[in-house]
Amino acid sequence: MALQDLTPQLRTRLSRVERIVGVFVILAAMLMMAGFIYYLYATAQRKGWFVTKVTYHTFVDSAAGFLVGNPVRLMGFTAGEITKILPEPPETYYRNVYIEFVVREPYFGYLWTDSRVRVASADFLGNRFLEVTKGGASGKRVQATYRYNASGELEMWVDPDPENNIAGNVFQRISELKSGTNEFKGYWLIADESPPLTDRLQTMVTNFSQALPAVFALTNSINNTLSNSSRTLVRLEQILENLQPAVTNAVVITDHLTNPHGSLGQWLIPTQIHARIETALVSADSTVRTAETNLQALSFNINRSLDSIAGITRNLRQQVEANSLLLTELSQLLIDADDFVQGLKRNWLLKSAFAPATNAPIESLLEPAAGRP
Amino acid sequence: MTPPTPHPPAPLPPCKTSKGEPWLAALLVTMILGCRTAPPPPPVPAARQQAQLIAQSALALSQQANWTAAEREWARAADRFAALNDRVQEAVALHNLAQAQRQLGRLLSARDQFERAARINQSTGQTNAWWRNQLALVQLEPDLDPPVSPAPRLDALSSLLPALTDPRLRGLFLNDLGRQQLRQGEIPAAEATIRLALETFRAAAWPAGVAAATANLADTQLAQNQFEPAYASWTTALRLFEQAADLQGIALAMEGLGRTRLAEARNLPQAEDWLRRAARGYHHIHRTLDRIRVLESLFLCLQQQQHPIVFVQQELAEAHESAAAFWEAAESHPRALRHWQAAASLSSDISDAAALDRAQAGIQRCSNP
Repeated sequence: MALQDLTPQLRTRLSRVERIVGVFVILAAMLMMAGFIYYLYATAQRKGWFVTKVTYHTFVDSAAGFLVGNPVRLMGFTAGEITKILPEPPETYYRNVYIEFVVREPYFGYLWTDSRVRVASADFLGNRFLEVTKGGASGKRVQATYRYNASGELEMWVDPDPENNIAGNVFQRISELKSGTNEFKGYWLIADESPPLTDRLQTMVTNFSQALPAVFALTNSINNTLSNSSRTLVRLEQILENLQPAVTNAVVITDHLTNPHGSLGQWLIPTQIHARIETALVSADSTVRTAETNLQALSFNINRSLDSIAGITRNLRQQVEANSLLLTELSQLLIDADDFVQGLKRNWLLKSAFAPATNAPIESLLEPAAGRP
Repeated sequence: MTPPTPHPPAPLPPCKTSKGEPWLAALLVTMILGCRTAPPPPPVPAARQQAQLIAQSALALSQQANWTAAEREWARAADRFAALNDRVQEAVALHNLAQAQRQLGRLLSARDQFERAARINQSTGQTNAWWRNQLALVQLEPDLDPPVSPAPRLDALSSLLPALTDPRLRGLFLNDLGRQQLRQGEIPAAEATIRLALETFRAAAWPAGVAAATANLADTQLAQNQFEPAYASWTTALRLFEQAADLQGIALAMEGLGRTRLAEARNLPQAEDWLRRAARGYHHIHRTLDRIRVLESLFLCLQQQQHPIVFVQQELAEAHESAAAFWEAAESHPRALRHWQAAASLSSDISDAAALDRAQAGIQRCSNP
């Protein structure tokens, strides 16, 4: 139905609705555009599209766990991302994988000649990430980095200090880069690469499994030691029982000695020796005082040693607490595995697959006789 | 040339309808409900577990021929089982304690323990264990000082033999009976009995029994001067003992081979070789009395070949000293005295003053214990 076929009242009402719809559509389009612009802005902020990025590269042994676009960290911040991962030629004598990455402003100001790239494990799945370290940790001055010159242009800057032995090499390298036709790769940072966490865990599990027989042997030795100790204790108990009459006799003798008329002192020490004994006691008293002073000094030193030991044990405790989760998980894993296997052994379907118990009842030993009767 | 166009992937087979699956589901439900996983076994009480551990430890020591430690552990095990009122296991521990004491030369104490074990087994109705006690006594009694003939015990056991169902015990009985007949000079009867024992052991599939019976058969053949069959039997016995890695049996078979060649007076160098190897074997496993017997045969062998005998005399003197010390430790002074006297005589022959002094001191000790 055409618009001119409608009554004037309807036409008036319809044109008002059209206006409202038009306003709504325009507002919606503007909102959508604003959202899109904000998204673009946020993405640019996140990706660092509008900030200066400078290029670095490094070499590692393996590309395992790296992807183009993975973040590069500096002091815990996401400072850049990996831009290129390429294998080195087969005849390379250094490391096998070339990794190029960019670092955004202002983070490249932290990277000096002695900065290094640390390759660390990101998780248990074998992923790894690059972390660049702040320059100056070696205690040397800045030798080479990127910086803005007086006219506000970014340049590869080298410390002109003549004592800086590395400067000549860096100047030469920059001139080579500028004159050559090769793609610009930026500074080379040396990587400290550690194997993936999964490899280290594998190594740890291997070492653990190799150490298990020794642990079992140790438990056997401990068991033997305990058995021997229990036997020794039994014998000791017998000896103590045998000593009981001797102790009783000794008590009777000492009772006699406490009697003033029959005491040992009166038998052994005549009156004239008493004075000498007093002198000796005075000397002994001074000796004891000296010994007390020495003992105080000794106890002070022992206290210091104990403080040091307390510090060591505190550190040990922190280490143990830091690794407690892993040990607990491993222990729980072993317990669960044992529980699982024990359950399988009792399962009606699977129990025939396991050998019967080896602890058969013990019988009387009797071998057939042979030889000359 | 264009590359071949890859074939489109084959369409997936149509999904089966569930019409045929109810029987499978029913079977699974039946299996799940009808079969039940066994519950874990009830825990063994701590005192019983400890007694069993001691017995296991004692058994391992016996198997390692560490008799001193084994005797101590079996005694502990017997005490523990007695405290638990486990008469069956107490009898087993007493029997094995007696075996350890027998190896240590304490024969009278061993006999007492065997008899105690037999009484307990009789009261608890452990027929097979009782038979083991009796057969151990049969093996022990000829070694006592003075020797006791096992003939009355064997006669008494013969009447009970029809009720004995265990083939190994039947074989052991026949083997010991044959040895007793051989000891009494009833050689054909001994051969027949030992052949029967051999068949019984074979039927029971007991390699140790077969090897021992073969060695005893060789002995009976040698007693009848059937040298070639005896040599063949000793060779078979040696092979069987080697398969079982039985060190004592290997030395015994080597001794038998040497004695056969010596008795035959044929190929004496080979006899000497066998006897030397047997003596070394016995020395290695500390069977001093067996070593003395072999060295005496070697002595005869060397005399027949007119070879120097001084080295064998030295070894014999040393072996007699060891045997005397063994019997002294077991407080069997008459036997120790006999060995000290033999050692003194040999030391005098080879002019070994130090050994002679030791032997004379031993004679004095054992003459006035």
